[in-house]
Amino acid sequence: MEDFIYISDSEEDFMSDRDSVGNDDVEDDDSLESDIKWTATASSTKVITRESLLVAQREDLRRVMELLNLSEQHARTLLIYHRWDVEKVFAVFVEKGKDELFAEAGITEKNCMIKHAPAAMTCEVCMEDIPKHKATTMDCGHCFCDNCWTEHFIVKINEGQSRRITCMAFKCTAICDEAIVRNLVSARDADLAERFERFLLESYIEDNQRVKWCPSVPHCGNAIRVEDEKFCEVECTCGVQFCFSCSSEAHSPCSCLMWELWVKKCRDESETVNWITVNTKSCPKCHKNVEKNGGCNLVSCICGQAFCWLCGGATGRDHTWTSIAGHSCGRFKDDQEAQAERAKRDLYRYMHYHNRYKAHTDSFKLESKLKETIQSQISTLEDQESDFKDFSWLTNGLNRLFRSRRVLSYSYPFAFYMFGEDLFGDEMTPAEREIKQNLFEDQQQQLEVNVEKLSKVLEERYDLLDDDKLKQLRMELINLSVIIDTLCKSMYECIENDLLGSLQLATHRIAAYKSKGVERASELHVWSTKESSSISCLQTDSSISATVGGTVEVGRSSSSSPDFESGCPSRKRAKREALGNALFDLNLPAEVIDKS
Amino acid sequence: MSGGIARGRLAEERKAWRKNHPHGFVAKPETAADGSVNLMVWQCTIPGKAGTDWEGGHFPLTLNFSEDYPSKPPKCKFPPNFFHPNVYPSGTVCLSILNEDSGWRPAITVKQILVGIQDLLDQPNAADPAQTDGYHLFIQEPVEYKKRVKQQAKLYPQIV
Repeated sequence: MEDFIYISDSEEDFMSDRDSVGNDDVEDDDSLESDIKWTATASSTKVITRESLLVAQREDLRRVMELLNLSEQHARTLLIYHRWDVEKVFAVFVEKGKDELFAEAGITEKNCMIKHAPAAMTCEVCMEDIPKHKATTMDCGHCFCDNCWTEHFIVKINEGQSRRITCMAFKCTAICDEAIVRNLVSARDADLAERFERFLLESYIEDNQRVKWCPSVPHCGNAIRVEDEKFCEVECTCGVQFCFSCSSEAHSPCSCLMWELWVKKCRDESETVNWITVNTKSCPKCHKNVEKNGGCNLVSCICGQAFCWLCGGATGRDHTWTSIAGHSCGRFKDDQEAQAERAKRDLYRYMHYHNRYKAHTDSFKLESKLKETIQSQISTLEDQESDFKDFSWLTNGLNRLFRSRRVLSYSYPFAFYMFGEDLFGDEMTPAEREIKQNLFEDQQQQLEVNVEKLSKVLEERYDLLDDDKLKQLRMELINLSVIIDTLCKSMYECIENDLLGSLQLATHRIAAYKSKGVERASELHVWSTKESSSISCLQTDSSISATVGGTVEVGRSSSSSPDFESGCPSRKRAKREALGNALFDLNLPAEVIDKS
Repeated sequence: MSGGIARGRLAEERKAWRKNHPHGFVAKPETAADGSVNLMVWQCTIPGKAGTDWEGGHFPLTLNFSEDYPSKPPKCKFPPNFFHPNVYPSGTVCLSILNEDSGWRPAITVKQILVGIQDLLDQPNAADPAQTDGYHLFIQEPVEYKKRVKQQAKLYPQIV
């Protein structure tokens, strides 16, 4: 801290105020600190749990139902066909009209002319005579026996085609009525009916650009929905952070492609193999790889065999500095040498970036332990008599360290690809590359210096310090945090505008920098006030609880398991209360839910 | 799955065919040397449509039904190396209504299959080639294609 040059004006304010009433300067600093508060803001990114899956699709369904005056199942069929893109549905509606919109998706509105069928008919699939009550007519007007329908549904569900089960008639493209499928299949195989239900519901995740499964292992069961920006990093309520675009760990400022290549490269042993080819020769006798660590061209393996380093051939032991007795193999061929040189250069380059990447990743892991240390120090401090009441500056500083450490470590694979030949060899001349690389590395270095400083400050034993020292460190921490945040921001800006933004041939996009870290997905707000009143009559009927996705959990809302109450974070409980027994039942006709 | 409806349905298909079938077509279940009938394999003949290059040919086609029929379509095969853009070198016919993931419907009858394949003969689907020979000639050398089709028709005269 001897060369602490970044202290801004407010530091002076702080200094001059420091002898006045303690409360005042706390207010002063709040303006400075507000930038880096880590409090959760209302996020447009939502987490969709097993319980809220139906609710999540509700809004989209409702919009389509209202505009086109459709039942829920027809709206779902339309949305599944158009991959849950409501705007697309509306566009097709405006462009081609209702009839074509429906025909494309396989929707037939109920045939008003109900054929006066005789008491018995012949099913055209099994060719058997069937009494009328054992046959079912679909909306498209085609009638087959219940057995054949059931068989057809089972085959389609088992083939994973639950979302678009067509009618059995020749050339008929109508999609079968959800309720009929549900009823007939559950009579034969309840488990399969549940699977059908889940497939339908999960279409909202599987077929939807805006929704992705959380990649946690073991899977937490959640999915994440983003508003419109696909290139972003999100945090699931289970704690896993990931890149929404490629579902791997959050990796900005690397682009998805860079990260994919990097992971592969790191996993690959090719670099090791590369090193071995460049630096060793295998012994002609025992075939161990031998590295030459000095001396002349006659090397001897630990097995005792002597060989020529130039050609790898076995030789006798008599030699001088320049020649080996009875052996002559000429010189290196030029291209061989060039190739070896190149491989060597590539390897060193990779090692340079990898070592730094690894160093920061390791630091990150070590620093993660600081979290507990600092927490315990804070609780000690809080018990002491002191001017300080609020220690959020300490946790904020820690969060800033975590955040910037990650940025720093991912900036190395970014630089490896940005200024290497693999991806952008044709994008820049060597001179341009050098300028850009310098620009970037300057920023990277500045960030690095400050992150290390921050790391050092956070290693202090805060619980052992007096108030004056605490104040000083607090100021230092806040300043460093602001500086680092600004540096990160400008590094991302540089990457987005000057580096990736100026590419001509390739398009690489990265998630935007967020001061407060990866965006934390928030729980889906279940009912708007309008909806909650409309649904209240449903709540009285306890039989209409949830069977969503086949879970039968709601019956025990008063908690039959004690550890459920104690083990769950409070937000979970709140959610369950909010959902309560107000979940939709897919087994009800859509109209009942809508009109109630 | 045991107790499938394949055989019952095929027996009924057989009855319906005997009652009424399109002119020139043949479709009957395979008969073994001992006289027993195998309902799961049908030997059929498809006549080339009058007025097309396929006229005069009576093309042999085998339908192989599985126990999953009619949930799954039968496999339809011409002799190996049959000349047509949408027939695989093995002889298997590539047609949307015979594809279980798209056009197949359990209510499609043997008659509809055979008529569908007859239509396909003269109206190949350029979007879905199954052999290089037939496809390239069809796209690039219509004259040669015509010649080959007529040649093939002569190879399969009506068996009286």
